[in-house]
Amino acid sequence: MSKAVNVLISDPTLRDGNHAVSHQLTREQIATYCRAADKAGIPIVEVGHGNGLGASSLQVGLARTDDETALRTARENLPNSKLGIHVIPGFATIERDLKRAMDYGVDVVRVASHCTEADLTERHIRFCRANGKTVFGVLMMSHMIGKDMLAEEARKMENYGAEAVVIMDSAGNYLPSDVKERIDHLLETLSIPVGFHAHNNLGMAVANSITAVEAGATILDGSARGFGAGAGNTQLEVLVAVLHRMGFETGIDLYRMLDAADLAEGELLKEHPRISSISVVSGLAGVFSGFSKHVQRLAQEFDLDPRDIFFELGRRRIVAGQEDLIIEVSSELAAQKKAGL
Amino acid sequence: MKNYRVAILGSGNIGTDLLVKALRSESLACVAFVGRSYTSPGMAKARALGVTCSDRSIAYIEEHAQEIDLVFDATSAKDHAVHAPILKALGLRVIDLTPAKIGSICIPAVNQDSSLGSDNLNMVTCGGQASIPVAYAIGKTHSEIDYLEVVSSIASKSAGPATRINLDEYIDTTEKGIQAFSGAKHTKAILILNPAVPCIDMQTTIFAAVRNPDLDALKSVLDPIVAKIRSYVPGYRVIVGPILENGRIVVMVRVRGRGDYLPEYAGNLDIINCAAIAMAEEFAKEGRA
Amino acid sequence: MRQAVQLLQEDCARVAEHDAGGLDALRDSHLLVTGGSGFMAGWIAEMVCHLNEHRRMQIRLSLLARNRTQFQDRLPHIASKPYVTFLQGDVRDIVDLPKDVNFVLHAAGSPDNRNHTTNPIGTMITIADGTRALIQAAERAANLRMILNVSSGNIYGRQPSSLERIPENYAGAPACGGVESAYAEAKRYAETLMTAARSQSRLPVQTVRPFAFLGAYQPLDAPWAINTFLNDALQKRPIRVMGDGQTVRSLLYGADMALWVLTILARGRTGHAYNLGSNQGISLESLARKVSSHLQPSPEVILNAALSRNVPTSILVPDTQAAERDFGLRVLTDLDTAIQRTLKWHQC
Repeated sequence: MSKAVNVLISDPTLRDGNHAVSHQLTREQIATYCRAADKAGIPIVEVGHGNGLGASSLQVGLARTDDETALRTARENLPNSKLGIHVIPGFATIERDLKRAMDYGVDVVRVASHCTEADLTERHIRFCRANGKTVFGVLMMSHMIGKDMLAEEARKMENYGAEAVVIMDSAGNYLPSDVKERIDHLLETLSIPVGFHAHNNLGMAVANSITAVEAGATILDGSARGFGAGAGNTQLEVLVAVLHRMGFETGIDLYRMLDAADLAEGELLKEHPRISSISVVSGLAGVFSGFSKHVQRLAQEFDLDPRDIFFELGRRRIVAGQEDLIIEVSSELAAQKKAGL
Repeated sequence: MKNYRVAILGSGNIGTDLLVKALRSESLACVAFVGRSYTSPGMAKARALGVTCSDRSIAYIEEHAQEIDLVFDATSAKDHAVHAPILKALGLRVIDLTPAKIGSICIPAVNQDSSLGSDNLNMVTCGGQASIPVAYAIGKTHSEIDYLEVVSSIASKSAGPATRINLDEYIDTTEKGIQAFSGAKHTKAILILNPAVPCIDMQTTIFAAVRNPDLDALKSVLDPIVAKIRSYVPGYRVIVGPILENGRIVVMVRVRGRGDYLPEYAGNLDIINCAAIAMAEEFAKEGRA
Repeated sequence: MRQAVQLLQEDCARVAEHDAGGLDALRDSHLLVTGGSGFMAGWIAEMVCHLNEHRRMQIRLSLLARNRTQFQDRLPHIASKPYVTFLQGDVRDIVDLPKDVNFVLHAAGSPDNRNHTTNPIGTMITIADGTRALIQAAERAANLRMILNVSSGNIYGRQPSSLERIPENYAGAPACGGVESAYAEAKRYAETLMTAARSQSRLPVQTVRPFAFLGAYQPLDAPWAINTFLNDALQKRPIRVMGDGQTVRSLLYGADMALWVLTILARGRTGHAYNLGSNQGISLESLARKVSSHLQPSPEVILNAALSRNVPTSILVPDTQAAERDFGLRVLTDLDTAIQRTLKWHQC
């Protein structure tokens, strides 16, 4: 008789990881990793473009594998695990994207917005509930506001019908005390479970995730080998090992989890996620991790120091989805440089 | 001469900003500002400006149709569906600022002349008014557009509850609009709300994936179109491009509003109102001719 | 008159010394105060004068009020300042804020409980409609950085005797339907409306909940014990305390209040609420004796214990730890100084 799961793991390797390879994951890679994840008993496997459903675009990057193929492939290879998707209103519409995703067999819909814009999620959350799907609310870039406003936005999602709220440290900016303060307050304010999604820009992803769980969060996101945007996510196999050592139960078979991580390293990763110098800058500047590839490309094209671009993006308080502004900022910085400023 | 008689139906933010613009116009005479309640702030503003007000909505228009040449409908898509046949029966021209998609699509910088033949003009969306002229210029200069995309960022504060709840309709209407004017095989619209303080100006980026990009040709078509837009939206300007970046044509425009009734950063609301006023002024010219 | 002005400027200077740069965010800004002829507006105007004339802050101050005469009578030296604009009007009718407004202090609404008792309907409608109109105008103010909504300490309802001081998160409420609840209930509504505007329209909004004050610009016939005491003392007659004198209140001096309000406006983060008042409770008997001690000869203090009933002692004292923690705000003018300065101002 297995112990009751008390920390629910959601694995965005095949979603957030897509940021790290400019959304080029193939159908075969999706199939291979899904099989391994399913064997390991990972409860929720998230699949799709880095910015989720309907986000394949010139703005963020065109996906090599379209939503339908990715989701159908995942579904076929996940006999036990639940299939999750990330949905940002403004990118994905109900008619064009969400209805079809349900036909492809999605189980868990994670409806996300920038941390201050929860009221954009009302219709999408309502639609999922009306169709009997499990739906979580997700607040991205949550470091940009304090605990009170974060809780207020989370509360909106609860009122719309979200069954849990996950806060994302999309920039990898948090220290453990930031996480604790926010999770504590969310748990005081909400009556639904709370989750946490980390990025590793400042090397805090596992520590922050553990802090969240100790504060009472019951959903954690982690990717195999940390495969994700910027410096990567919480390294899932490490997180699972630590949680088990602490006495938490995830329902995941550690050996098979390690196998899945080894497989991911061989099959999915172009390069091992690492905290590069510019990831540190990005984390400090509080800039969306998914911008990393774009910044590096544009820094080369415009002959700029990527660190200057990151700090300027941070200063302008640009949010996820505003990749076009990286072009504007780069062209402006280049013009200034040319003018000798 | 202010002798072309317009009425504004809808006393919300859009209607009230239109009122300020109509009063400034040299050819338009605003003969009525019509809503449903005298207590709305728009009504208070209109009264302060000395404009005839009514709280009787479409009934007022029906009773005073003889005194009106054109109606701006700034209510909602659902209400416009009710108003459109009534206004048609009354023989009144309509400029529709709701996303009802009943009239013919109008972007003054692109199809002003052909729009003059329609009695119901639909002003698409704010993103559409900003991006369609660019999309049109790309379509004019490139025979095969595989894909065209517009991404708009607006200040969170400029998006009220109606905008938020109708996000999907905004996306759908904008996608159809850019497709119709560019001939692109596939189109996509994305909307981002940014809560930064101070508020950001509306900004729209147009990306295109085309077979043989010709930036010089594009620029030669785009420049006069932008000049035309600036004649009715002074705060419209191209801030980046056209450039070729990472295999895509990129053009970025920014729209700063005039700050009439709505704040300057709400360029998204200003552009659609400016376009509507520009068309009404064209009708006024025609009426005189 | 000149003496009175000088006295208030000295108070502002003494108190503003304690500002560690928190007010710098107000530099070159435009501040609009609704309720522009009231006690709070008067002191804010005094403090702005000090900051402009001694710290070159270049704050533009607009005061909105219904009654120009009252404003000019009470604040003639303020009315003549080049950086002060008087806007005549009712906040309920406001359509547009001045375009360049950065900060708004929403202090409209009389706290006089005698008016509330006689005209509860007018009280409630004025507060509700004034707040609504302000929000709708503020939604379109492009340069707005913060609105500070002046609520009331009365929104907590009765302070339980078990609680020495009321903290901001105390979940009490006024009795529903009581005669004295009209004002408190309307203020609660206004607070919630402001919060809704923050949530729905992304307005930057904070709240202060004022308790009792002391100082210039409070008329001697104002309905609070301290004014009665001052009035009795200045009229050189015995100070009469209602009941047994065991009621506990606290008083914050006007200059301190102005510093607190401007600091919270300048530095506070949207969504927060702070008690505004002194955390040092004092019984009315002790207060009356303090007032008496500042005059020569000292007037007699008469308690009216015979008429008092055996009811629990009423306490109303705010917990102000939040303002101290977030901004280092504390009482800077002790009660004796405050009483002395107030008496002197009335004698000018």
